[in-house]
Amino acid sequence: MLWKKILLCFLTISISFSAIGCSGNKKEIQRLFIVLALGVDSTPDDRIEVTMQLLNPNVSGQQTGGTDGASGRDIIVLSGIGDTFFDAVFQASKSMSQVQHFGHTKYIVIGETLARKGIGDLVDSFIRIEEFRLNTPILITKGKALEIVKLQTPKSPIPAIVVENLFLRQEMIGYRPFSYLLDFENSLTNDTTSAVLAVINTSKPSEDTPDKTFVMSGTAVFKKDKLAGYLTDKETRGLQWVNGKVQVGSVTFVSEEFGKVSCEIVKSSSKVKAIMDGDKISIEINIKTTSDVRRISAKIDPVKQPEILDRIGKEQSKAIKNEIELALNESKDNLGLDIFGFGEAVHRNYPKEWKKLQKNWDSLYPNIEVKVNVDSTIRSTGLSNKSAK
Amino acid sequence: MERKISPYQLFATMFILPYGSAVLFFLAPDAKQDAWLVILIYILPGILLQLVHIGIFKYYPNDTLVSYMPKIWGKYLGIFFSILYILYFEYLSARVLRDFTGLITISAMPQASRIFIGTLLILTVTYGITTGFETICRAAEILFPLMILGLIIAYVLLFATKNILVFNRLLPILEDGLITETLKSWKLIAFPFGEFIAFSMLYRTLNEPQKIKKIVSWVIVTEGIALSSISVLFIAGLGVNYSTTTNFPLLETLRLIHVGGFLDRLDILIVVTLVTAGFMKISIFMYVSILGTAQLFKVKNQRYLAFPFGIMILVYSELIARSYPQHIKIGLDFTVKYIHVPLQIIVPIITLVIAYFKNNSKRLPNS
Repeated sequence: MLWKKILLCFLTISISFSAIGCSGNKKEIQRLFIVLALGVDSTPDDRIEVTMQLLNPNVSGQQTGGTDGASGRDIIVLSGIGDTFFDAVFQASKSMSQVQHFGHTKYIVIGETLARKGIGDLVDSFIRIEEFRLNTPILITKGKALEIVKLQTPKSPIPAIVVENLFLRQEMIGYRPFSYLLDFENSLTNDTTSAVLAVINTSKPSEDTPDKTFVMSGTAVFKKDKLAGYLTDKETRGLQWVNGKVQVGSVTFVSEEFGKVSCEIVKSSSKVKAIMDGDKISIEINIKTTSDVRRISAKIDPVKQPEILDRIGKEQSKAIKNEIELALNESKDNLGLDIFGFGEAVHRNYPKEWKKLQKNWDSLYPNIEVKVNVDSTIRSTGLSNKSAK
Repeated sequence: MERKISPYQLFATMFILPYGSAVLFFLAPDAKQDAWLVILIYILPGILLQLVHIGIFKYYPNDTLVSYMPKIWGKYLGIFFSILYILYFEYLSARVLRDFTGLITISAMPQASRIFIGTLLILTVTYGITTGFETICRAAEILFPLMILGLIIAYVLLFATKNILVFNRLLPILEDGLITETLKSWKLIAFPFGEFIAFSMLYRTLNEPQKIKKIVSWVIVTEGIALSSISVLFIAGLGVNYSTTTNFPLLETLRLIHVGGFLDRLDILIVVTLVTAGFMKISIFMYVSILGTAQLFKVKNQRYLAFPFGIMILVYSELIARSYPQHIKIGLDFTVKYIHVPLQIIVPIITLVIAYFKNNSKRLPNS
């Protein structure tokens, strides 16, 4: 019976080696061309240009003491032009020694011209590809996406990671909105809320440095799936105050009593409520923040007079309210697009009335009344209490 | 006759059955953000439906669905129904196999051939069945706590990931009114709550038959709560619109997990859970169809049936639909209306009524 056992072993081994189903999908890391960043632009003749920042598969040994990062670059940039996104990637693949893998794409950036034409189909494609994660950041750039993807930052070998960290940091500061693939898709399918995306550009820190860096601030506002306008960084922070997402940063304001004051924000939260009074719709926004004083012109002695902090808090609340109103005005008067999701707030609080209001939200939105209440708590004045000077 | 199983084993096996595929889908999409509430509401009709089946079982405590049909309906109609149910369980087994191979091919291994994955699954299932039903129950004993643990871990990780769960998306509650939404989601009673009919073949294996009602009620309650909580995760994590658009809400929700920079890309956990749950579900349905056939045709050693049934089910799973969307549509439309509702609800109720009259009139001379 020994030969039967040997036959069985042989069969088992040979069948597992010829496991056809797996070999087609085997993905060895060395044979993957990892796409770190993806840029999509529109060409003058209405085609799509895709630029990919890929991880260099030929990883050379560590170069010590290299003054410039040019030799032994860790990234390769390839681009292709085609009629659709897939077409363009396929064109680019003519220069690729192996198959591209989108699973580790750190961000997607879309050029302004393409954004103005409409990116609904593009985003739909991204969602259908199972390799893209739903929490991939999507960014808009004022120029061409090519520039962003190509840019090699001087100190870090992989620029995509620089952008990724920039993205995460800016969220807490509040200079960019929540800008992920899933949320963009949800806003697109929602009839009343306008989608927003973060904006990234390149710039030189000062005139004499030769290298450019990334700057991420501001918001791109969409009408349906077409880019309609921008918010400045202050207006963006107004938006993020309403979303309750500002977690760090500073608020600077000038007050009569205290001069120029800068406070560092520790945390903030917001509640948005819709109130309907007959036919009139109004939105009530309640913001709560906690902060520490960092710079103050006037001489203060908070230990002797703790109520100073309350007054500083009131001034700060005014300043924050101004930022929010900047955003509100831009959104209501200039753009006429509901970026805050106030429509959904009405939906949540008044589901029955919403059914009738929903269709006319575009015309109703600019006329709604918004009440902003900010409650700032100044927690401390930092490490010192009395003014040092 | 099979060996007896303990109440816990029955509980675990019964729980895994619908859970295996119900977690994959966004149940009750018509209720939109109230899907979770509607699932909880349908626990009650689910229990009532099972009480009908248990009622019939009480009259024939040593019989399975297939063997008491002839006793109630008479020889010809009874055998007709028995065969119908055997084919029904086979069809369900093939449907589940198709669900899983389709999903694995779409999400994890697009280049793999579906037949190959199906073959691997079926071979494992067939082997499991040849060892007998008790083995499946013992596997369920271990897998059930693991699945609950997996659910809890998913919850914890999703809560730990910032900004992912937006509970505002669950509002407004009962937007269209409780009754409208409940009625719109009537299909819930067939899938998942109706699938317990498979256990009408297995109730007699419980070693403490007086506990049947209690166990089954608890299973349905637990099942309802588990599925409802998963719906909450889908709605809060993905939003109602995307949950209905996507083919695979569970995968997409779990992919959102990103804790501490290292707990990321946990897709593999899902595929593993999937295959395990799928294995159990296919096994149970296949086993009951084999058992039924063995009873009907008085087959002595039912182990020999496993392999042919395995092949048949694999072939059916390929034949039942040409593409994944078609498979889903058939499952939601045709199968529910013309197969689940008659076989899970209408026939058993009539059977119960007939059984009641038959047995009451039998008892009169004795009492």
